Amino acid sequence: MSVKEPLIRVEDLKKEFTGVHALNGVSTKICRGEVVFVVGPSGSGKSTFLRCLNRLEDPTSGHIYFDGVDLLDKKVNINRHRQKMGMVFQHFNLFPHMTVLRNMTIAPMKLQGVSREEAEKEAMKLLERVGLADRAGAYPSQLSGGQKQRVAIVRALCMKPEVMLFDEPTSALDPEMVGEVLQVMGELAKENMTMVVVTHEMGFAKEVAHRVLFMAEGQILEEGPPAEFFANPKNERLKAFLSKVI
Amino acid sequence: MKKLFAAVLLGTMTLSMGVLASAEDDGVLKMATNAEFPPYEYHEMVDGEDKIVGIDAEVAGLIAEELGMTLEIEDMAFDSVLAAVQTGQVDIAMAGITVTEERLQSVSFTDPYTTATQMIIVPEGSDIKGPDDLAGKTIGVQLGTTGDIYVEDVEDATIERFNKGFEAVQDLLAGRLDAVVIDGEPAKVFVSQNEGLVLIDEPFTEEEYAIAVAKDNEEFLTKVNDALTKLKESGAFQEVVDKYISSDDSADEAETEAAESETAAE
Amino acid sequence: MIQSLMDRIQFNFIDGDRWVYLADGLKNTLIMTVFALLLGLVIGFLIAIVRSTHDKTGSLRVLNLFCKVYLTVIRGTPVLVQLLICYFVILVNTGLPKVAIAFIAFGLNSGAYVAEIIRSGIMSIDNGQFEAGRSLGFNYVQTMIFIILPQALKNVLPALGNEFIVLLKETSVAGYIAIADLTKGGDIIRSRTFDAFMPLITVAIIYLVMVLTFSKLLSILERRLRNNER
Repeated sequence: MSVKEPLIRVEDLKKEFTGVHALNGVSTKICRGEVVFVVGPSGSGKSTFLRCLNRLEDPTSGHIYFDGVDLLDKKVNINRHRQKMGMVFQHFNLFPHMTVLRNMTIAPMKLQGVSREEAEKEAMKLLERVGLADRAGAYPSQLSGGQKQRVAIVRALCMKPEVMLFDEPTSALDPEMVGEVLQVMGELAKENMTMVVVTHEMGFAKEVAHRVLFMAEGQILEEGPPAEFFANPKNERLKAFLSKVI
Repeated sequence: MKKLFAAVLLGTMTLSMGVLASAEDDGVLKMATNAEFPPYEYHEMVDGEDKIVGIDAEVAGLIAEELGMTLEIEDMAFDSVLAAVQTGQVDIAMAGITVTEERLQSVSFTDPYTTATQMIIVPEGSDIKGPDDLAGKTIGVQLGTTGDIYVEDVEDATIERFNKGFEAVQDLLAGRLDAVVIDGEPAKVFVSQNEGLVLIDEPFTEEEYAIAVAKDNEEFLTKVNDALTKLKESGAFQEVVDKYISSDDSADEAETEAAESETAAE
Repeated sequence: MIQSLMDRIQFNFIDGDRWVYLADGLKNTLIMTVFALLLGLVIGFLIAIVRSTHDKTGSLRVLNLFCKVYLTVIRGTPVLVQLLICYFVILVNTGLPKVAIAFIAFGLNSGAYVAEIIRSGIMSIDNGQFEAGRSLGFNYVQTMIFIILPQALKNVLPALGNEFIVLLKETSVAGYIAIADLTKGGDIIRSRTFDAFMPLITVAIIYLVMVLTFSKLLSILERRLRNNER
């Protein structure tokens, strides 16, 4: 892994839900082209961490620098920055009242002033890549779970984001559909997309991650390249966690 | 649909026949009225109790006495009063009802007991000086009154039909109407109650009030007519009228009284 | 029997062209209903946005309070009283035609009910839809317009249709301010013929036919919208 400038720099991030410290001082850097996996037991704060990165959750304190801009500055137009941060949800969250194609083209057309023709061309190219070109006219309810999540990924890609955030993208899928989604994510990683992935798929993390973070109780307890992280865990909590999930 | 319609119709008619047969047998004289029409009939608190009083109400009481019956008054919307007689829900209707050809198709009338006029109320300074000036104006009336029926013949007039006479007067005060056509006696009350309104001297129409009874019951009609004649001859009838309308000199007092009671009833 | 029925129809509706009372009344009823519906939708929509924005984000506190007072007053008082207040008190010196005052009153009334219908529709949409919209970069209003409201409105279409039917029937109290609506048209005939049966039943049938027709149209529309997603 070559030395790259950080795309996202997180400093002492804290998030408190009425009395509960979901994030208790998280600091890390994510470089351009880096693929970072976040693992940990449920309730560890890993999803909250991810959702704070594009401010779907508002952190209580700390800083998130995205491309040098502090996203927690009140004067920052978060909507502009979110366009550069694609997000994929556990439950897909496709828009049920729109076709697959419309799901993908509405944001570029409304937000980036892309013409319909161009947006649809781009969308079709992406659908082609994930093998769903023939479903462009379908509605989300007509797709399988795996297909839905692949559409959700390319919907986010239509905005040409600089980073992709994945919030447990395979947790709601039937086992036989997990593979097709991981394959798409693997290809993205190969293309040097910056990715932050919250997941339980340890095997996949081992395969594609540049770095793995272990979170528990709202803190990063250990981080490192996957080979070392999985083969040689130092933190007791991580050891216990790995023994349970692998 | 047609069959169902006919069945419903038949049912209703049978029902009303039944009601018709049972009326006036039980020593109770049932009278329908619309007690929002001073001084003929209106609500008044008598010894802390809400009563329907007025010329019609008292005359009806005297007639009931003559017939050896007790009077029971039912207060309803004016446009339901004649229907109530027609269907036999009541025996008589007294509500300042003017005899018209149309009404004679549905009910019978006794001899007239009073002459009433439909008067025109206008705001002070109005360009309406007589009935002929009403053409093309917006006129308020009380639905189903003779005024309502006769103003239909006024050329190009817009007619606003109110459920209550005083509401028409309110709209006249609000400047939404050019004139209100309403029975003479209540008209006097309304004008005396509200500043800025005047009564036009020339009546819109003159008409006679009579008691409505069900059709095809000659025996009952004759009985009521006889009672009415007796009351007129004995002077009892005039006494009632004097009590409420009195002669022109003392009219103001009676009007104020009626006006106050009307306000209390609202 | 049939002959007497024909006679009564002749007497009630044909003689003196009395059917015109019903025709003119129907026209006024429809004008009031349609305009009141449009006004109610606009008001209801705005209130629903304010209320659900407050529910979701905690902002707009003053506006939300104002809306809540409005909803409480409108839903806590009879529409007839509201109509009379509009006509004889609030809008008394405006010079507005009475049909306009009536649809303003009915629209204000309907708006309160539409607001709660639309709000329930907005709140019924999964929060994930909202997050997906925001994560793509849509702002709050854009997310509402492009993503939440289209789904919410489709979900509440039956309830909105029902509100329209209620509104259509509620306009029958317009006669209280001397508007010659359909019900009043029947009343006028009744006051001329002293026949209660024919005018009232006819008026009832006309309302019923309108309601049934509208319900049918609504169910066709609903089916169309549903087909779009299957």
